[in-house]
This record gives sequence, C-alpha cells and structure tokens, in this order.
Amino acid sequence: MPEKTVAVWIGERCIQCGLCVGVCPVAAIRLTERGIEIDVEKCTGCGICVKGCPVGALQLKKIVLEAKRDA
Amino acid sequence: MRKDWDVIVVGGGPGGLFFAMKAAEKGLKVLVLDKKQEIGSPVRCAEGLGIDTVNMLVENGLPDSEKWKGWLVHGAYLYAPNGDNVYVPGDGYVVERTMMEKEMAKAATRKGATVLARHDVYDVIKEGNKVVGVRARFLGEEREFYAPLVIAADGFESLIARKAGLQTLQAAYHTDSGFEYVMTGLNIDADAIHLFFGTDVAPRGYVWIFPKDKDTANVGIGIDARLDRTAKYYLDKWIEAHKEEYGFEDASIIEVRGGGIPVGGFLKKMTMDGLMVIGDAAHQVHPLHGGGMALAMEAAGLAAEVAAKAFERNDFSDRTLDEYNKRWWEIRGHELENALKMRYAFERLSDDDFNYFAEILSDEDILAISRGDVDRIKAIALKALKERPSLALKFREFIGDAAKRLLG
Repeated sequence: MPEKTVAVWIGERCIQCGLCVGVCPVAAIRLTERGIEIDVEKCTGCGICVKGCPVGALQLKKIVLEAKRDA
Repeated sequence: MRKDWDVIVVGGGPGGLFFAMKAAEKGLKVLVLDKKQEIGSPVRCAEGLGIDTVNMLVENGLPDSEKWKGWLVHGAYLYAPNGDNVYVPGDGYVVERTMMEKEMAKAATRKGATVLARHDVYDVIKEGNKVVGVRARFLGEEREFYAPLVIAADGFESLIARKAGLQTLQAAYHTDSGFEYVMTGLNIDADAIHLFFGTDVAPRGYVWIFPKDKDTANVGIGIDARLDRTAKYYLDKWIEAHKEEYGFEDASIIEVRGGGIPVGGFLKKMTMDGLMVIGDAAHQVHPLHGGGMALAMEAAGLAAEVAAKAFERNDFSDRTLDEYNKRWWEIRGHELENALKMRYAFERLSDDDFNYFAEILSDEDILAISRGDVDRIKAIALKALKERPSLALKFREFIGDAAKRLLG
C-alpha cells in the first residue's frame, strides 16, 4: 500500500478562519459548510498550512492511500 | 451566451459589497454571492477603520449609526518592549463588522443589487480563456450563474481567481497569522487603540487592543505565518504577562477569531478576460499595519468604474479591464511597495531598536512611515544611523547608497 504525508485537519481546534486555504500552494484545501476539506490526492505535505494555522488545527501525518479500484 | 446578470461578485465582504454599491449606482445588474451563513459573520478582523472611510460609507448610503460604526477612538499608543510609548492622534472607529456588512448589503440592495448568503461558489465557468459565470452550491442545490464580468472578492482564500487561472497564491513569507479574542470586563484606556511591539511579543507583527466600548475590546495578534509556534501561543503568553495591567484575569472571552493577513506580494496583474480581483484576494492590504478594509473599498470603487466602462464598450477583455491594474498601481500600488520595504526593515529590528525608536520618533514620523513617505523614512534612518550604525543594514532598502557613503 502506498504511503503519503499529508495535512490532517483537527476539527475540534479549528476556528474556520481560512488561512490554510489561502496559503496552500496547490489549492488542495477548501473551507465548506462542513469545515476544512483537504484533497489528499493534491496535498504535497509541504506543511505551510500547518505552520500558518493560528491555533494548531492542522498536522502532518503519514497516511496509507487506498488502492484505486479498477472501473 | 446566456447573460443572467451584468456582474457577479464572489464574496460579500467590504470589498465585494462596496463594489456592488458602486456598480449598482452606475446601473449595472449586480449579484453578490457569499458562502457564509450570515453576511458579516464570522468576523476575521480587528475592525479598525479610519474616520474618513467611515464617513465615506455614510455618504454612500449607510445609516449614520453607532450600531455599525461602533466605538470612536481618538488615537493610537504604540508600545516598545520596555513599555515606553508614542501616542499618534487621529480619529477612527472600531466598527461592528457583522452590522457594517449587513448595512452595506442593505445599501447595495437599495441601489439595485442582489445579495445571496450561503451560496458557496466552488468553480468558475469559462468559455475558452474567458470567465462567463460561476458554479455555486446553495443548501445542497447546484446553481449556475452567468455574467460577462465576475469580481473575485473572496478574501484571503482567493480560490476564485486561482480557479480561473490567475496566480493569486499568498506566499507564506507574505502572510501573517492572526488570532483574536473579543474580551469584556477589561481595564483599558478605551479612547485609543493600543499596539505592542517586540521580537518576543509578536515576531514581525504586534499585539493589539482595539476597544469596542469602555471595557470591551478586540485583543489580538498578527505574526509571521512561518513560525513553529502558533499565533494563539504568542497571544496567550502576552495576555498572561499583562493579566493584572489590563484586567485579563477577570475578563470574559465572548468571541474567538482568526485569519490570514496578506502583508505583501502585491499583484501587478489582477485581471483577465471577464474577471477582476479585489481586496484581500488581490493582497490589497497595508503591509505595515495589516489593515485591508479601506484599501479593498478603494479598489472596489476603481473596479466599478472600469466595469461601467467595459459595459459602455461591451468589451470585457483583459485589455479593457487592465485600466484597473494601471490605476491601482498609480494610486496605491507604489505607496504599498514602499510600505513593504519598511516592513522588511521592521522585521530586522531588535528589541533595543524598538526601544530606541520609541524614544526618538514623533507622532508625525510614525504617520509618515505608515504612509510610506520614502523621503521622511530616509531622513529618520540617516539620523538614527549616526547613533546606531547597525541600523544601516536594517534600512538597506531606503539608505543603501547614502549609508555606504556615511560608513566609508
């Protein structure tokens, strides 16, 4: 299974300010009515959003990508 | 091509709503889409606004009411790390943004515009290279809106311009991380705003107390977004150290806010076929103090004039809209570039330097610095340089050649 380091959202700390959205170099983050959504396919794990977050609501984590099913 | 509206504005903040007010006055059919549940909320701002801008809004149809104008202050205290301060007189309001933006939405509607909350625009619609509309979600329902002109006023996130193909990414180096409590039960001098500087207090930025009434204030911080510690960490640390002085011990927190502040990285190009970008989305923020509302509204006014011309000519090409870029750079762009150079100098100051400047700077010096008055900054720096030669390097953008001569 392929592994990848990505930004992970910690909802309980989030104040929904949108800073992470604006600094994401690959526009992988969106602030929706459900909170922060991170596109793990796009995320490069650069960590800019993690450092910028005023309240520490993002962390870098290694995740296991699900194998893509053949159509 | 379908044409439902003349102009679609994405984002109902001060920039987007002021554009709607001005464009509707010129007879354009304007639609403002905002993803928020409630126009004006949540606030991501310290809410300081100069008296001229407040009066300008009243002249443009907002009620002359403290409900949105908020709390009048008469000046600003700037504090060095050792506690010494400089007072800079000048009237301004700590506005109630939740009310201000609602009043702006009402004024825009009276002038003929339409504002729709909870419309989350997630994509632009393009024909070739030209932006012709947007796709939005409203309570689970997919909606499409068409117009020959779209205004990206979606704030710091600035996803709309990027979706359309304009590079508006906010570089981390030019981003400040902001965090703020609205606190009440405080013991403060509510006639002025208070700004606290220091390398430990707020690296690259400052802590602020902006009074909202005699014992209520926005207590916040902006710092370099690249730091390992969070803005919250620095603010909490400062509040703990000053808990007796300002009554933080017994205060209540009635709101928690945060946000990204663009403090540089100005865009030469804020237009493309069928699209203009305004406000935070175009990084139109003062790089020294981080204020953006007045600039966003100024840009919105310009963009509305250019939009009206585009309709007269029925030409929404980048070439026609380019007038907005040109005029912005004439009116504000270069001034902001100078203020950005000042930010670079500011970032290099030690606590000793801050203490020294608190001693030597007059209120007029500080106003000149925030205006980006290069001649005055040069004069201040050259004078300071004689007593503190280490400042030569720190002010290198202003006194490069002169300093070299002086230092042999």
